[in-house]
Amino acid sequence: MERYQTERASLIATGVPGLGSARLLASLTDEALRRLSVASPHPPPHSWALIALGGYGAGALLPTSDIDVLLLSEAPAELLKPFFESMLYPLWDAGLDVGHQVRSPKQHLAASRNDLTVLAATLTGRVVCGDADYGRALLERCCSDAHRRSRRVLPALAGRERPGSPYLLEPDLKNGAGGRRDYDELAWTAAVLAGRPQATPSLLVDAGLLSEGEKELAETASAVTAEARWELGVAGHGSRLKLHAVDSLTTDPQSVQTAVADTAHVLDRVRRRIAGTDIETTLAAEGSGPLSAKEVFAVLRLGEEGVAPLEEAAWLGRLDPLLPGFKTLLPLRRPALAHSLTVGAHSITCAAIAASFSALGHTLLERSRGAIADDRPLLVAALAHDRGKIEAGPGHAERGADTAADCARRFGLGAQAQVDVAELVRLHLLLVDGAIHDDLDSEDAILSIAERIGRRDLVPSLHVLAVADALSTGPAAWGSWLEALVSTLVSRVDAALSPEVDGAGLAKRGEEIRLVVLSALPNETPCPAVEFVERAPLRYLASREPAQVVKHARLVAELEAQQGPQVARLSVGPSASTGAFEVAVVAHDRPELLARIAGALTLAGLDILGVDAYTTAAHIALDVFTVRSATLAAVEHETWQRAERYLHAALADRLELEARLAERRRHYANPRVHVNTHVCIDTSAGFDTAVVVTAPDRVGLLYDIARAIASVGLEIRWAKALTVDGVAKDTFHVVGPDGQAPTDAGILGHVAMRIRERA
Amino acid sequence: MKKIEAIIKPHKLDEVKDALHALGIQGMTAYEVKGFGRQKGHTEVYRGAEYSVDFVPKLKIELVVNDEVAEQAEHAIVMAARTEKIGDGKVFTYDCERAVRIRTGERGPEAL
Repeated sequence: MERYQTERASLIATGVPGLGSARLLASLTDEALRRLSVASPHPPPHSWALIALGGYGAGALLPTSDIDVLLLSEAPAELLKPFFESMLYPLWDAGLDVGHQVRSPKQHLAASRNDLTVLAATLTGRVVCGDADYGRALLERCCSDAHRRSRRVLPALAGRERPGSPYLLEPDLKNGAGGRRDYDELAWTAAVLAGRPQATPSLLVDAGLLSEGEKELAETASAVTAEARWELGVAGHGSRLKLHAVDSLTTDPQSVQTAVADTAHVLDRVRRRIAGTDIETTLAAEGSGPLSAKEVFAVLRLGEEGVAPLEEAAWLGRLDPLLPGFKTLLPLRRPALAHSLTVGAHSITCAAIAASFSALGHTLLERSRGAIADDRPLLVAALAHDRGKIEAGPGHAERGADTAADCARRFGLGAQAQVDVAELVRLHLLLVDGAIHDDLDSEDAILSIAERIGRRDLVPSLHVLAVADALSTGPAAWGSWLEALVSTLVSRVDAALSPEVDGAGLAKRGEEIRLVVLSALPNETPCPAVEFVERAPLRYLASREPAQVVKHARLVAELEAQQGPQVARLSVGPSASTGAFEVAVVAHDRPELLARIAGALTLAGLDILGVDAYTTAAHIALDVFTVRSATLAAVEHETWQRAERYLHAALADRLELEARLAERRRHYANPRVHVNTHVCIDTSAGFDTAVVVTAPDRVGLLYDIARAIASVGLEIRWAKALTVDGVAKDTFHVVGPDGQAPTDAGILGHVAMRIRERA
Repeated sequence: MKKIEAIIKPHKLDEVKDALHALGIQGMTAYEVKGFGRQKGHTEVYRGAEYSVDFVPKLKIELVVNDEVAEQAEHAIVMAARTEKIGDGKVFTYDCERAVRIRTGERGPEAL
């Protein structure tokens, strides 16, 4: 035993990982058992044979493998016990795991019939020592018996559980799909068909169940897997190729992944040939020609059931004409946070999931799915979305987009659909990234994402693709937490891309204006004007010319140099409207600010034709009014001086605006316009609520509406007011005291009522 | 030693991490959590239909620091996580009695 232990330890420490060393270890163990049997002081009284079973029987032992042996003899167990113990105790004392059974031939034959595990272990059995003919006879009886029962035995063997996918990034190299047991099953099948023990599946070639090429694939895969298992065993990592263990292997993990896949697919094909059945899909099981687009879509629409057939087709290269390089992509390892599958397998699973989502409309995802009339671009994008990972490194979405359009063309999709597929691939990470890393309560963040998407009709497909991608990544990649964020983002981006908002155009123009203005401002830091422009809302920037923004920025800088809530700065300039002026007012934001400014300008004798009101990130209100004289009197310098006086008085609470405006209304009644006051509420934007008021214009109308909104505790985030032909159409985007869009029907009903009362 | 727990908005994680790294604090654990506080979730409208989210997704971060840097760390988190809007979150600080680094057995501040 000492010699055996020394040689065993040396082999494990210095042997080349793989089948060669495994066979040598089995051979050393054979020799040790023979010596132990010879040296035993309790030889059995009858014929006996020591039979190696399972993997040891097949002639290979890994460092962590059990040594499975059967002591075969007709002698009673109590007579065999001393002999067997004299052989096993030294092995146990050496710390080795020894599985042992003591049976007569009749007992073992019965056990083989009743227990598939016993039968499977016997099918690769061989005699180690004792009466060789005696042992071989038993083995051949068991195998021939299994052969006679092959119609039941083969399906039973094929019903063995093979947990997981061969494309898991952490495959079980022993019991999982594509692991050692899959190769063993090929050998068992050969043994059952031959009626005698087999250590390899070679006989299956003669039986026409395995091609020569498939046999070589399986043998090569078996060797690679054995190498990895040897190293994992020596390092104490068990039989699963854990990601953290990969670095300690000299065996290339990509080779191992490919080997696992090859073994699994070869076994699948042998099982099907034995069963005489085709795959239960539209795919021809033994076909070697390329798949058509129609076939691919049909299989994907089977959902989870379509994954395995499509993986096999991809493994055979039958997807490559449609998706060039997919055969290489299928087993490609790109381990990343939360990923559980290889790149190609992940893509197939993603597409199958995307195809299987319900369109019933109960959930936001279902609404997105239901909005997709033709899902083919989505499915092609799902299959192609990670093609960029063929090259390692960041930027795979952009790389994949470059070739995605070509894939769509190969699938027979039209020109626009090809563009859509490329965009879906390019943007497939956008929604999840944005949901986690962007402030979803910021309109600018939403607009920026909207600009990147560009088109509202892409949103449903992008949503479905994002969710399918996350679900096919792994259990840690999707859950209710992320779903809440993504759903919020999807609904807000969809609203931003509506024709009414044109968020994409707004964001694009806003950023263009920002760049122009920043280049026009002097390079001073710190500079409140520069900070204002850098943080100015996109909506504001998009509605202004660069020169106006520069003027406003300087106004804000002047305001920030002064202190106090009553402080305001005002600047006047020409307006595009004939006879009108543009008045920009900046002040520190506060409740009812817009109302006070509007009231002050009205009292100064100005008719407000329109207003664009914004609040900056620094809580400075920038309200830009388009005004003209409310009477036939010309607007002169005194008018602006008066307006400034009223403005400062209003901000300092020294002006009774309500009473003064009422008095002015009595003197300057507006011509009657027969329009009912109408208030419409729109909550679709998500980060604020739009209150749209249509009413006959009159003196102090804007003041009254703004006060009505403030009176229910809402804050005007931005506003746009326009008067045409005596009818005011004013839109106020409001938030509650918590900064969120008010959606409570009671509150919104109340604000509508207050507006109607005052308007 | 002090254990600091903070509930922050998800998009603030990178800023908070950077702020702590600037103080030399490298170790931190982050959890995805659901907030059921005063904000009470929200309602969105998508393609003409409303849907409600009855919680607010937040991140919870935990870190243990030496007493000398606890206040600075707390302040760094507050400043980095602040948006001045409702829902910015909260920071809690507790005494930490003992700490052990499992791999080496180091204890106390050496374990941090």
